[in-house]
Amino acid sequence: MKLETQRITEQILIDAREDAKSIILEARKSAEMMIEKQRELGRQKAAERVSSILNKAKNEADLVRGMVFTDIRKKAGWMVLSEKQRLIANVIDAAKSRLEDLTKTDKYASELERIIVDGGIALGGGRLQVLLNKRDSALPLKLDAMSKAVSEKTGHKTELALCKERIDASGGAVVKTADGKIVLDNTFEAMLKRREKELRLKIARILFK
Amino acid sequence: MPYFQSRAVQVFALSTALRVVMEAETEAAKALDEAKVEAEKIKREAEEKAQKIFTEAYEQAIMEAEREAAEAKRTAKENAEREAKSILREAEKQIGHLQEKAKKNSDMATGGALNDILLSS
Repeated sequence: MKLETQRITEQILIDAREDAKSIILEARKSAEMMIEKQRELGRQKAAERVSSILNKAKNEADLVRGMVFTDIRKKAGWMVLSEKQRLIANVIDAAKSRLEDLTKTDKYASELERIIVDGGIALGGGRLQVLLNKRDSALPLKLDAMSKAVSEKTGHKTELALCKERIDASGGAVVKTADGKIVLDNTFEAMLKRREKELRLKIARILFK
Repeated sequence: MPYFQSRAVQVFALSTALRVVMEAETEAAKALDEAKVEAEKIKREAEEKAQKIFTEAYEQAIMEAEREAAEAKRTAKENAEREAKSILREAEKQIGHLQEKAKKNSDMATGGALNDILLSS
C-alpha cells in the first residue's frame, strides 16, 4: 500500500507541476501575443500618418524637381538667348563701324546725296532744308542736281538748301520743310534706330541659319 | 493476527495513505496557485509592456517614414540637379553651335544690316 500511495502522490505532484508549467507557458504565450498585437496595432495606427508623410514627401519632391527644372530651363534659355543677343549686337556694332568707314570713302558723298534725295521725296518736295554734321557740310554736294531729282519724282518744284545748323551724327542727313513743321531724320543713328527691331530679326535669320 | 487487530492495522495504513495523498493534493494545489499567481504577474507585466510597445511601434513607423521621406526628397533633388547639369551642358553646346554659325555668317549678316540701314532712308 505504501508503494501504491507513493506512486499516487508522485503522480499528483507530477500532474500539478505539469499543469503549473502549462499555465505559465500559456500565460507567456498569451503575453507575447498581446505584445505582438499591440506592436501591430501601433503600426496600423501609424499607417495613416506614414502614408500622409510619404505622400507629402512625394509632393515636395515633385515640387523641388519642378522648381529645379523650371529654374534651370529658364537659365538655359536665358543663356542661349543672351548669347544670341550678344552675337546680334556684335553684328550691329560691326554695321555701325562699317557705316563710319563708309563716311571716309569716296562713295559716301553720292550715298549722302541719295539719302537727302530720298528724304526730299518723302517730304513731297518744295522748299527744304538739309542739316548735316560738321564734316559732311564740307562735302561738295550737288544740291541743284538733287533738287531737280526730287522735283522730277514728286512733281513739285524743289529747292534744297544747306542749313547752317549742324547736327550731331556720324553720317546721313536731316531734311525738313522750310517752316520746320515736318522733319525727316535720316541720320545713320536714326535710320538704325527705326529699323533696329526688324534688323535684329533679319540679322538673326542670317547669322544662325 | 486476530481479526480486529488486523483491521486496525489496515485502517491505520489507509488513514496514513489518505493523509499522504491529501498532503500531496495540498502541495499540488499550492503549486497550481503559485503558477496562477505567476501567470497573473506575467499578464500584468505584459499589459504594462504592451502600451509601451504600441507607442514604440507607432513612433518607429513614423520615424522610418520620416527618414524615407527625407531620403526621397534628397534623392529627387540630387536627380533633378544632375539632370539640370545636363540641361546646362546642352545649352552650352547649343551656344557653341550658335557661335560657330555666327562666325561663319557674320560678314553676310553685317552686309545685310548695312544695306537695310542705308536703304531705309
